Amino acid sequence: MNKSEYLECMKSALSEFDADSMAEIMAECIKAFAEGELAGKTDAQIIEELGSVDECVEALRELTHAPDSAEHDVVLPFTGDYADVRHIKLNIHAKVELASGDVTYPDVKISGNRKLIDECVVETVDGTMCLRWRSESRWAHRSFRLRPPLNITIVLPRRMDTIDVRTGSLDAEGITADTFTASTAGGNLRFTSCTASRFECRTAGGDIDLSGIRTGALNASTSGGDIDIDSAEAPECSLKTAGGDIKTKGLVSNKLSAVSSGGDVGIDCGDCRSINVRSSGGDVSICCKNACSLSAVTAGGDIKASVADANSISLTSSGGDIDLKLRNGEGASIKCASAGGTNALEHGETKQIFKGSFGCVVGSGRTAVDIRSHGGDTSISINC
Amino acid sequence: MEQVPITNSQFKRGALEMCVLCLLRSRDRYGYELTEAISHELDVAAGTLYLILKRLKSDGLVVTYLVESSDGPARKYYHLTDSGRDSAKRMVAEWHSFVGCVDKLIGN
Repeated sequence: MNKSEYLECMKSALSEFDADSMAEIMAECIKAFAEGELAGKTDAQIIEELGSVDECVEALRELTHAPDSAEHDVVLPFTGDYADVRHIKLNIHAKVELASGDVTYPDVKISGNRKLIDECVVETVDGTMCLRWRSESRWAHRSFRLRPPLNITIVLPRRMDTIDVRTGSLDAEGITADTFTASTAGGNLRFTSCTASRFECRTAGGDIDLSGIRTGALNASTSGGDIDIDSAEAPECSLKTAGGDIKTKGLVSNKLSAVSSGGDVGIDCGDCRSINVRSSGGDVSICCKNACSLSAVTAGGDIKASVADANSISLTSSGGDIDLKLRNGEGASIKCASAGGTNALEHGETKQIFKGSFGCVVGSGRTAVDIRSHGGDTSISINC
Repeated sequence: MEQVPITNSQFKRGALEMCVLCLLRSRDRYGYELTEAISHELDVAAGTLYLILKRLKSDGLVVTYLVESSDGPARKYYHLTDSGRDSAKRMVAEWHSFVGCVDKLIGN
């Protein structure tokens, strides 16, 4: 096992614990590697000093699990209020699973440490059901992070207005809601086959996995993880990650914005009126059918774009290569600028390679090329 | 009692190390007991406590031993070594003089 495998393995093993624990232990590992490397140690030596991932997980479990408390399953009793529930809010640290079923009121089942379950309160006020910690409890916000998370399963009526989850990891399948909001400090968010007029998910520490999402507006952001979208319909779609990669497949959108500070962005979509991609550190790859306007900027990586047709394309890289394949693009305005790399434009049957920075207009009967080079050699080769 | 948020991690680490050592002065405790005792007063992530215990162990201030339990898995107990006991004493003395100085400076 080398450094990156160890860190990756540790990160995924720690996902069952709170975000602070994960952040702190990951920081400690990264520091140990930095110091070890300076001292001329091999990855294997540093890993031995750090201890195995299993040891770490076991120690954390010893610290967070009461050894003599068995797991309990509790079904929250139904009271008349639940029948009117149109909104749900969860403010407790839990692994939450949402399911949609033929129920007229939310069916809530909690399993985990009995003492912890007893600290949960379910309130229903004005059509909003809220699960939270008993505020007077000594186990309230102060110490829950040390506790094993509870597992909560909620079966929802077919149609809900708002679902709002604040903590823990969340898995949901087949949910229909007017507004679906999930924000969590510590976990991964995974949603499958969900429909909502607005769909928002935010996590500080985990990955976001979406598949089969149908919504008017999709908003996904994570501070620490990857965003992976597999088939989604979202006329407006905004994806943001501070530390991870963004990958979309089978996305149908009119207006797509993908921003990554540290990772790669891979967009694969059908027709999309406007695509806007920004990455500070990674490579950008875009594959789409028709785009009115396509804009991609990366500070450190390569840009690879394959577009069937477009009105306007602007690709900018500070350090990498740009490779654009445009099948039609009649009358399109194209601007590619790379400060350090190679620009390659393949248009229909012609293949034009530009080195340096260039902007050009490609159209039938009129091909005007404006070349500005900021340092490199300029050689033009046009075959028409 | 109000929650005491400690944001500076170095500050927190130092204080927590001392707290863990002092909790072990009266008797040996297992991991969850330590967690419970500390989390009653301070907001602390399990990962922080884990790193502290790991360091205390590698520095020889605590040792661990397993005790079989009838109603669950074996419990790992933490025991304060002689040098751990000395460290605890020294840290508490330093803490009091430090707090005294800070109190003067901040006008208490």
